[in-house]
Amino acid sequence: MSSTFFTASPHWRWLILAYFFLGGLAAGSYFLTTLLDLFGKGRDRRLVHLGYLIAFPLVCVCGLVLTVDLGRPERFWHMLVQSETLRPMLKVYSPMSTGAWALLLFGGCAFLSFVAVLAERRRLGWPLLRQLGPPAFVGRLVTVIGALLGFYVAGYFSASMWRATPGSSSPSRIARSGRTRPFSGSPS
Amino acid sequence: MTEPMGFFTDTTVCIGCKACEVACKEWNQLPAANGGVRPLSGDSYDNTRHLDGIHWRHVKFIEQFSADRRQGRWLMMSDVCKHCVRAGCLEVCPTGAIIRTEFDTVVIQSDACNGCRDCIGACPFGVIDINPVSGTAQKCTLCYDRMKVGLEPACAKACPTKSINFGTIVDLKKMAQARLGQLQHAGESRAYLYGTDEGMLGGLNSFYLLVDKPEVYGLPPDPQLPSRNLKSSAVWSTLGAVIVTLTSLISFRNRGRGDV
Repeated sequence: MSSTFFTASPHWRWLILAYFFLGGLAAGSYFLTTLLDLFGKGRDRRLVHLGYLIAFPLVCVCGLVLTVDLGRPERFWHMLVQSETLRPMLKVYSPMSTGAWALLLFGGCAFLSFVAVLAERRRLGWPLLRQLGPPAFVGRLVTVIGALLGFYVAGYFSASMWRATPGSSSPSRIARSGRTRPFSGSPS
Repeated sequence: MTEPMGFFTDTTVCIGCKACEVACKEWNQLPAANGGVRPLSGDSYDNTRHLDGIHWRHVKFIEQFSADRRQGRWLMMSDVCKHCVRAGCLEVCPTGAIIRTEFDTVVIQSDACNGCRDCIGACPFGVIDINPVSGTAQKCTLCYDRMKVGLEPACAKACPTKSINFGTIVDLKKMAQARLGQLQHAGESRAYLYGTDEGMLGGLNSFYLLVDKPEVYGLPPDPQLPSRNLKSSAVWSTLGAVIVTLTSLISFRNRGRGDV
């Protein structure tokens, strides 16, 4: 029997599924919007605005959903800051750790782009904020970094699930099926 | 760091009394499930069924009977965290709650854990689960608090048949080899040690003497670290990113050109 069937289910249920969907939407929206922003034409502006305007609220919902799903939601920040020493908490070889940072930074980029769009549409009366979106250099930097982080956000969780123990992504029924079952087989 | 400590569990002398389970729950003040009314499994004399957040020790009953019930065999195995030298749970834990102690054991610090449950899926043995009272992931600590003051873990102390042995890894390995030799000399040729080989996650600091294949005891024959698939995951994700980029760039261009 494969080693994948001896692990237990991490109980990642519908909140996590919601995160997959919404996180994918946010990241995909931001990623495609960045491409359209950098390589598209002037008449694509409305679509570009829409893409950036969608991404930020969705990331906020993602963060909220992930936090609520924790066993101890009030300790969500333990993934970013070590609770005892208050030093930054990052493990480059743990998809969940890098993913938490990526989500935070992606959220930051999405926020800046969101603000830039509002400024461009004159909803915010501070023209300097338009520098946060292309074609300004800072704006290009924000969107490119944001798009890359977005793709990481969309991809890292699959690495969390698709690892030595694919059983972790299956319902507990399957994950537990490999555990000792009484009355199975004849005595050898 | 002091000397690495661990368990050697000789399953051949386990009688399935579950004193270790009780001692563990009592010392670690683990809550009862279901208001103390344990639902009966209905198909086994074992009603604990598996390790979880409130059962850090579990005596597995492997009850094997032929269809006519004329022949039967009972295997007992007191299961616990393996305290892997290269531990999957410790590798993935994003809060740093899971640490390696000075005794070379793996401990989850409950006050740092935020209950993300990544470690549950990362453990190839299915040891960790959420304790519903604390809301955090919990498992055997090898009685870190007792070891600190020179006491042996509660389960080993309670075991009436010396199936659970506690000590330094060096001493335990000597003891296990001696017992293995004794059994083989007596004609039990199927006996072998599970987890002493460093090829298995760097060696398990809680290892076993078994008399059948690991799968029969619900143990993985070849446990792996979660990081094993990191590279392939990264390659596939990057490939996905490249494909999405190219497809959208091409479609954007065509959109401009077609203009219908």
